[in-house]
Amino acid sequence: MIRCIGQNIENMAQRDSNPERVKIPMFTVEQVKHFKPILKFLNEKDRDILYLIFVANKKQKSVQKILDRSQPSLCYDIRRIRRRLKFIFYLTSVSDVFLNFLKSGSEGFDSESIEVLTLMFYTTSFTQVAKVSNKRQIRIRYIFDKVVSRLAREKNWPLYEIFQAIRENLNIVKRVYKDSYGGYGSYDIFVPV
Amino acid sequence: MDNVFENFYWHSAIGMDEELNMNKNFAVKMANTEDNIGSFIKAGDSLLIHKTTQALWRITDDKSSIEPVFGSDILTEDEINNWQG
Repeated sequence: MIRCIGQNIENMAQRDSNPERVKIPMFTVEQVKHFKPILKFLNEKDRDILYLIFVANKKQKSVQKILDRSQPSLCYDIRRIRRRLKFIFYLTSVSDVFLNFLKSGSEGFDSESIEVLTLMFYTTSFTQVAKVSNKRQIRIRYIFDKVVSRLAREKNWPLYEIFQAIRENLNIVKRVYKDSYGGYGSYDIFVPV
Repeated sequence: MDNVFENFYWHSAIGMDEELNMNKNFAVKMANTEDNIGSFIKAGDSLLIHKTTQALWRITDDKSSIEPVFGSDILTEDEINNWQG
């Protein structure tokens, strides 16, 4: 299923570069239901756009009317959703590398460093990590840079590549708290970067 | 007249939200016991990653319980029971 999601997301990218020639990729309802790990990273507005364009196969003009959106604004959101989904898919695809590191390769790293790496993996945001760990953002940046440099020095390229990608895509998976989730006070959603 | 679509989400037509929220019993806190910790991978002194769902949890400051770091990492009863098998 992950491969299927990836292929569809790749098709989404091709669609933009060759709008006339590439067949519009579609998600089936069943596929969408299996997207739970990824869909939870999208807010309600994003899910609407995803549904209307990639499941209901509506043209952008129709979606503009349905959602009462301008063309540039809708295009911006589509590009943003695509970029975010691609990165979330990337993180999902490399999560085993990170988990293996936690299970067996993280000896020699102090707890604070491991926690910063973990939170950066989940949030891609220095601000969010600082908030969650109740530390100053400058401290988080310092630890993150130090650990990433160490990964490079130790030639741990698989892990280095992951965190370098995160460094180049900061805030792409930004979690923001919202007070709604069946009584649970701080359900978070992802908002446009 | 109010806009009837004001609080309507088009994606609800295919049950996306139901799929995300369908499990009714959520675990928002668990006791910090060996059994419960066993279903997580430790990440540092206080962070925990659930082995099957990869939800991010943490040990509370008083060390008495564990809880999700973010709201979307709430585990359902099914997810906990599936692990415990």
